[in-house]
Parts: sequence; C-alpha cells; structure tokens
Amino acid sequence: MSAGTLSLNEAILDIEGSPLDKRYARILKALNHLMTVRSYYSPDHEQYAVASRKACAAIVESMGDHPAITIEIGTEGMMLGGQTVEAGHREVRQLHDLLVPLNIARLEIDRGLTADDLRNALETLHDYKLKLGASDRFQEISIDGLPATVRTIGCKLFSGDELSSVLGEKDHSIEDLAHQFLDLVGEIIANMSLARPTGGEDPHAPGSHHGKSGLDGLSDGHLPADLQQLAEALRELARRESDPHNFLALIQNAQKALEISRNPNSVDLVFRLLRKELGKEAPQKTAPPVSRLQDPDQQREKIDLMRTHLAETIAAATRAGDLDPASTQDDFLGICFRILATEPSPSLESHLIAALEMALGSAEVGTEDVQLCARWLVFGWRKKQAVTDRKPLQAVLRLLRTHHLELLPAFWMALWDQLEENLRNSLWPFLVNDILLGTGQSPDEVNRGLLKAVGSVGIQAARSSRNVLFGLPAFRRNQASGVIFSLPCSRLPVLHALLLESPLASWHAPRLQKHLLRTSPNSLPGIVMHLLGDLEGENSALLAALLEEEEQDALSDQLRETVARLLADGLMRLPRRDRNQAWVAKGLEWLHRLDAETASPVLKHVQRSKWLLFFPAWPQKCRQVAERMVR
Amino acid sequence: MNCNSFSDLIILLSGGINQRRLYAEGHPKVKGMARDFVRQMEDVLVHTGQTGFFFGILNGKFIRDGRFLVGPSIVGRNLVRFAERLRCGGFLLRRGVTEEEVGAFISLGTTLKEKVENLQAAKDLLRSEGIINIDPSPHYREQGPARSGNSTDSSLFDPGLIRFDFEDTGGGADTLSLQQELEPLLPIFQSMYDAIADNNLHASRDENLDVDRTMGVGEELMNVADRQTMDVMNLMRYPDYDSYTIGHSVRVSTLALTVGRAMCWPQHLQTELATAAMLHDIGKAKVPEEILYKPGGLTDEERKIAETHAATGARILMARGDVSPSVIAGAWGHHLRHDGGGYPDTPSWVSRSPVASLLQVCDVFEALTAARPYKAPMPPRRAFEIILKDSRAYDPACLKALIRAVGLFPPGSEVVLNNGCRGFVAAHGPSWEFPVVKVTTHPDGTTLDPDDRYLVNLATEPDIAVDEFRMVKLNGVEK
Repeated sequence: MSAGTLSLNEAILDIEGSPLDKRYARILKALNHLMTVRSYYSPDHEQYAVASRKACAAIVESMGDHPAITIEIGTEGMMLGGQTVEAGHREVRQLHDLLVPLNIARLEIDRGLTADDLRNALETLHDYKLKLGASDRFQEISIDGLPATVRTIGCKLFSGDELSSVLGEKDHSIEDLAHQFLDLVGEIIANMSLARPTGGEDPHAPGSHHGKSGLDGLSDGHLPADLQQLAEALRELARRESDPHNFLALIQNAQKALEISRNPNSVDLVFRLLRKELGKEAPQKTAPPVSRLQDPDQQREKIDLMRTHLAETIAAATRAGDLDPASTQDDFLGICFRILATEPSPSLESHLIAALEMALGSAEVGTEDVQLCARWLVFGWRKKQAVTDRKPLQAVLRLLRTHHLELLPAFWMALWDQLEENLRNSLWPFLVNDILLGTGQSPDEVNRGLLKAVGSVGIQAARSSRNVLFGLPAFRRNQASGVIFSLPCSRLPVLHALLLESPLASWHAPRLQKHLLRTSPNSLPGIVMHLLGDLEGENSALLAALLEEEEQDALSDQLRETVARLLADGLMRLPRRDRNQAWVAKGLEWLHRLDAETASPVLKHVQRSKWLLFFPAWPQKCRQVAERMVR
Repeated sequence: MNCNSFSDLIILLSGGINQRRLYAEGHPKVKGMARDFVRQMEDVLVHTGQTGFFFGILNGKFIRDGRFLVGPSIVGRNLVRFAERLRCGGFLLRRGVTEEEVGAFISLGTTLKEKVENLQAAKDLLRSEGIINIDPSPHYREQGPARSGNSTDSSLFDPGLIRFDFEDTGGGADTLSLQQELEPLLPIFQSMYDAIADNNLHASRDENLDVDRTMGVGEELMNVADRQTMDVMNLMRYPDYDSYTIGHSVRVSTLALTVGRAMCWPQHLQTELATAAMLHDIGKAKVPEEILYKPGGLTDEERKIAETHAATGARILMARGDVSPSVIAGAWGHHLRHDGGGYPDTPSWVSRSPVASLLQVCDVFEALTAARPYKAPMPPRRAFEIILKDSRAYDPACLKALIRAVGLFPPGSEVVLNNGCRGFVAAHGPSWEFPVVKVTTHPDGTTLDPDDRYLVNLATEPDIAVDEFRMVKLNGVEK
C-alpha cells in the first residue's frame, strides 16, 4: 500500500480526541481509498481492480488473528473496537454516507475477504443506494446479494406504511403540511432511539415515548429545547400567510436531509432554514474550544543571525520612493532607436517608425524627450563611427516638424553638441534643410545658434554633401526661410555659395545680394556685387566661387585674376556720379590687394584723372587710397 | 534526464507533443523524446513493480491513484486536449511500449484535429497508427450503471475527496486548505502555461504571437492573485528543460504580479506587467537549444548568442506593431542591471522601465528558487542572501517590494518553531519575516486534532521564532 497515497502515518482521532487503533484506522483508510477510486472507474477497470486488491490486503492484514471485524454505524459516526469516529471525518464520510441510507447498523467483514468480494459488496451497496435515491417514498430495504464474507445488519428508520409521502400533496393547507412535517420529525426521532445498537443517550430521544408519532403526541417537557421552539414557530407559520410552495420545498429538503443521513446536524440545518424562513435567527454555532499548548518550560533563545543580518541589509539597501511609470516611455524610445540602428527588415522598421511617431506625436513631448532622442541617435552612430542609416533621423525630424516644430532647434542643438566632426559633416545637409524649411517662431538667439552650427562645417565637407542637400525637401520648393540671413554672409559663405548653385538659386540670389550689400558692403563679395548689380547667369557662379574661396582665405590665381580684371574694368567705367559711394574706395584697395599690377593703371588714373581739365575726377577718399596704394 | 515519477512521465509525454509541433516526425529531437520516455517509463515500472502506467483525466486535470497531479495538470494541457479529441478519460501505457508507438502517439497528438466519434473509434485509430500498447480509457461518466437524481458532475463524486499530490508531511501541512486555495488557480495556471507554450511555438516559426490571449490570461491572474496566493508553481517539478523554460515564465508572472500589487501599481500596469512577464523570454525561442539547455558553462561565443534573446524578444514583440511599450521594455531590459551593466549593452544614462526593473529581480529570484532539472530548489531566505550580495544590480524599490511580498516563508511551507512545535505557514504576516503559522504538532510529536490547531502570529510573539523551514513540494516518488 502506498504510504504516499493513504497517509498511513496520519492518525485518525475518535470523538474523544484519542487516536483510533492503528489497525482500525488502516481499515477505514483502505475502504475510503477504494471508494474514491471506485468513483472514477468502471467496476471492471484495471485500476479499480488494483485498488481493491490493495485495500483487501490492508484489511486482512489489519485483522491479524481476528476472524472478523465489525463496524457499527450510529448517529454519532462509525464505531470500531469501542471507539467512535465522527461521521463527518474525511476517512469515514463516504462509507457512512453509503451505509446510513440503507438502514445499515452494522457491517461485518470476515478475514477470508477477497478483492472480488470487496468489489462485489461495494457494488451491491451502491446499487441499493441508487434505488433508494430514485425512490419517491420511504421504504424498507433489505440488502441481498452480498458476498458471504460481508454482512450487514439493518435497522428501521422509517415505516413506509405508516407515513404517507408529503411530495405531491399540494392540495394540503399549510397547516396540514406543518402537521405532517412534525409527525415525520417525531417518528424519526422515535425510531432513532430504537436504532442505536450500543448504549449512550441520544439527546433527541423522547425517552418513554417510543412508538408514538407526531410531536403533538409528545409532551413539551420531553422535547428538546430547539424542537420546542420549532414547534411553536411552525404553528405560527401555519397561522400566517405564506407561499405554500416555499414551505413545501423546505419540507422536501428536510426529508431529503433526514433520508440521506441520520445525523441530527442535518435536521438542525433544516430547522435553521425553517427558522430563517419564519424570520427567526438561526442558532449561532459556538466555535469549538481551542486548546493551546503551554509554553515550554525552557525556551531556547536562538538569535537568528542571518535573519537579523538580512533585515539590516535590506534596510540599508532600500530607499523610499516609487518607480516612475513615465520612464517606460523613455525606455521604449531607446529600444526603438536601438533596433532601428540594426537595419531591421522593412516591416519591422515601419513598426518602429510608427512607434516613434506615436511617442513623439504626443502632446506631452518636451525638450527633454527630444534631447533623449538625440542622445540615442548619437549613441547608435558612435558605435558604428558613422551615420550608417539616416532613416531614424529623418523620421524624428519629420515627426518633430509635423507635431512639435518648436522643439526642432532644441533637438538639433542637442544632437550637434554631442557629435564629433565626422558625424556632424554627415548631418549637415539635414540641418541646412531644416533651417531653410524654417523652425517656427524660434528666438533669434536660437536661430543664430543653428546658423553657427551650419557655419562650423568646412567647405570640403559641405561640398561633398551637396547632392544629398539638393535632394532634400527644402530644395523642392522655390522658397526658404529668411533665417539664413540672420548672420552676416561672411559667417556662412559656403552655405550661400551652395545656395547660389542650387535649385533655389533664383529665389536666393536677389536676397543674398541685398543681404551682402546691407551687411558686408566692403567685403570683396560685396564690392563685386556692387559692380555686378545682379546675380544673373554667370554672376551667380562668380559670386559663389568667390564666397567659397574667400572662406578658405586664399583665392585661386584664376579667380584672383578674374575678379581683379572685373574690378579694374568696373571701376574704370564707373560713372562720376557713382564714385562717391562708400564702397568705391574699398574697391580700389581690394583691387590693389588682388593684383597690384592690374591695379596700377587704375590707381594712377584715379590719382590723375581730371574733370573739366581742372577738377579731380575722383573723390578725395579714392585719390588718397590710390596714392597710398601706389606708394 | 533523470525522471523518477509518474508525474514526470506525463510531463514528458506532453512535452513530446510540444516538440512534435516544432519538428517533423522523423526529427532526431522527436525520436529522442520518444526514446527517453520509453526508457524512463521502463525504469519507473521496474522500480514500482507495475506492468503499466495509467493516468486519468478529469475536468482538465490529471489523476493518478485518486490524486490530482498539479504539475502535469499545469503543463500537460495539450495532452488533455488530445484525450478530449479521442473522447477518452485517460491512457494506459503498457510495459513494452516501443519508441515507435510513443512517437506515433505523439504525432497523433499533434495532427489529430477533429474529435473521433467515440471511444471505440479512438481505439481503432490508435491501432491503425500501429499503437498497440497504449489504450485510451473511458470517461468516469461512462462507468457503472446509469445514475438517476442529480445529473451534474458533482453528484458523481465529492470534490472534497479528491486530494492533490502534495507530499504528506505526517501531520504537517494542512493539505485541505491548500487544495481549496489551489483549485481556482489551477485553470489559470494551465492557461498561462498554454499561452506561453503556444507563443514560443509561434515565435520559433516566425509566426504572429497571440498577445491578446496572453493579456487576457494576465488579467485573469490579476483578478485572483493576492499576497496570500500560494506559489503554485513552486509545487512543480520540471523533469525537462522545455517545461522549465515555460514554467519559469509562468512563475515569474505570478511573482511579478504579487510584487506589483504590493507596490500598488494601477491595474492597467499590473495587466501589462503580467503580460510582460509571460513574454519576457520569448526571444529564447530563437536561441539554439544546444546553447539554451547546455548543462555546463557556456563559452564566450555561446554566451553572446544566449544573451541575444533579450533584444530578439523585443524585436519579435515590436514586429507585431501593437504590443505595449511596457511589454517590449520588459523583454528587452530584464537582464539589465540597475547599476548599468547587464545586456543588451546599454549606456548608463538610460532610465529603465519599472516593468523591466521588476521583472529582473523576479527573474533572478525565480531562477534561484525553482526546482530545475538537476537542481534542487533554494529556500527564499537563501535566494535573498545571494541577491543581496549583489544588491546594486537591482532597483532598490523593486527588491524591497519583492522581499516584503514573498516573505522569507512562503505560505504552505512547513516550519519548526523554536518551542518545538511544528506547523505550516498559513499566511504572510504584517512583516516579511514574521509569518502566521498554524501549529499542527506538539513538541512531543503528537498531531493536533484539526479543530485544535491554532494560529500563531510570530510578529506578536517575540519569543517564538522559526527554527527550521521546509518548502511545500510534490511527492514525486512512487513507492
């Protein structure tokens, strides 16, 4: 027998709290286990057969030298060897529930029991119980068909001829029903006292009133207190208006309860239900007394060092404060960028971009969030030492432009500040693009900061990205933000040069011209602009070249010669009325600086040229510059 | 693989069906599983002197010898469903069953989609597949004479009589109250196990995950779990790595939800937490089993591959397009350290999602305290010692909450008090280190009557402390 399944070590206690004799305990457990297994399988199932063999072996072994064992069934429970186990005990309940409705007061099992006998006995008893359950009236039952090694002794609970079934008699009045119920209860109580095989008082026994039926036939003095109350309550019920169907149902329940178990507790349950129906409180069951062990005389005082240490460590390791659920968004953003940086598949990429869109499209997005985006982008690029994939950047820029234009400068500044030169160069076109597209109502200071960033990229890097630049959205439309004129041209020569070559040239050129003449009239490009008058055709290319090469602080010989010639011709042909303009003197200086040889005749002309043979043809300032240069 | 109980055999058989879903019939893994099963079954039958191995199925749970088997019931739902399609109430496997028969049985468990007409048809089907030594058995309902009266299942047996396969402790743990607590939880844990197993299968095949179903199961768990919820998965043995991997996620979910609830997280976040926990290791579906289940230490290369599961899991979840950020963050960051280490490689300025932080600590705790293949479970106290030695790796608030929520003594565990009394932990106490103990045994060894057993709140009894502690576990040994 498997100890693990039958809990052999677990003692069964009798109603007085003493452990049941181990042999009897083993028998009860074996029977209980077999009945459990029986509930799962068919009678001819192998498992049932195995279990019955085990149970039979346990029972026979437990009998020892005894030729038979007797199990007596009483109101309080099952009795073996003079000890009573409560009917509700889990090792007893199944057997008790099986035998009681069959009016069995005693079960005897011989030592010659076989597994087949055991199975057959159980099947026979169950079959009878089924018949009883299907019955609609009380009846006397005698058990036939048991094997020779298993015997039962029955007792009468009910007398089917004496009592009529309450079920179906709906025409009776409530009072009639109540009386019938009381009669039934009285009869049961009377028979219960007859059915007890051993001594002991039945608290519900009516004493000398055996055989009399009905509570009315019993004097109240001999009736238990709760039944007295019930009798009065039922009389009261009969006097009141009440739904007879409810009352009938209660009586039916009471019958069933009494039928299945002779346990007075079942009766009590029904009585409580009735009391409840009548508006009386159910009796409170007192809790069983709880005994408590006395403390041992000597208690070991054991200091749990580990527990103390643990407590101290935990206290030191922890600090107050809740987790911030908002950090999930930051974490998630970072994950999106990290995965984007791994060149995901197109479908995954679309989900990532969609996730970014959702994150950055939120109204709660602020400067810190875009700075975090910038940080993540830089983190990814730095790992690879290159901007290998611009899609994440373009996605962020697009989202910010759509939802949070005002945060675009902050994003760029955060990005730019963290980037090394090589990474900046790669991103320069996108920065320019955003500036040209406009950054909303950003303060001048912010715009100047962006333009400084633009101006920080060298000409070579800028030139090498012109194809990327001209392919960006800003160059698909013939307009641009005027913010590029926030700084003097000299600070952004390369940008202006590229713009003059770009699809935006027609828009940009006149504005650049104005800007140059306003802000840098005395710079070489400014001087040239004065002379050229416009930036049509080749003029634009010339200026662009000039801007770029001036940025490098060294004009090529070719450009030098070209510009010098331009200046020389232009100055020489300058009408007298225009010679007073402020730029003219500066132009002479530039000419001399560019090419002294070409400048010499011009300077001499300026020095000596007369108007009306007498007056100097050039303003004094020009003559002074010429003189200085010639000297 | 060292399998020593019938419960393990059921888990192995169920695992075989899972494997067969992944691999073709003749695949070495499937064949290997069948071979292992036959060998282990033979060992067990020889050891127990039996000629066959039978297990029943009742209300979605496995039964053997009149006991519900917790572990197999949780992990073996695919086998239960197979039995439903065969319209049977259990299986009898006879000694002498061959690898081919087990292989065919496993295959049929995977390929059979429609219910057969009746039990006889099921028997015929098995025969036609060459399965001679495995018999389907009838449902309990079909046994015995027709019963009148109540027609509900409950009238045919008393649920209170069916016990779970907890280890009998000689009057220690009150298995009846544990059963009452376990009963409503079992279907949820079955659903969790199923959801995780299915998602792992989908992930391995690059198919869509069923995140909605996972979330639904997470909500169910959230509705029933509380601080006193028994650590059901702690009762499980994992005879193989496959069941451990899935069971690990189930247990992390329970732990995480318990802690999240203790931290008073809002309900929607708790649901996301449960979902994230169930999916946090989804990336492992893409890690080769040879690396994932390698018994010894991993080489550097192998470790790198194993560590990709975090990022891979996040990618798998992201590819769905509608998974919540918390769930993705949980998959990505559950191996990140609070002090900046861990993997995937992450800069120190990153603020980690609280879900990831909580999953990290629960993940480690579960790994330490689970009964893994070839590894005995560790008591919570020992696990906390190990964790606290490296406390900077964990978010302090999460760590504190875990210790407080789990406590040193999980409910159901056996304890011996310093006054000689024995009992079991009935409930967490107000403090994580002082549980409420139900005393069941006198110092002299006498078992108290159930009505006389009493509760001791160690928080209010300064002179009484826990001397010894033993966690509740299943009796995996068939005698």
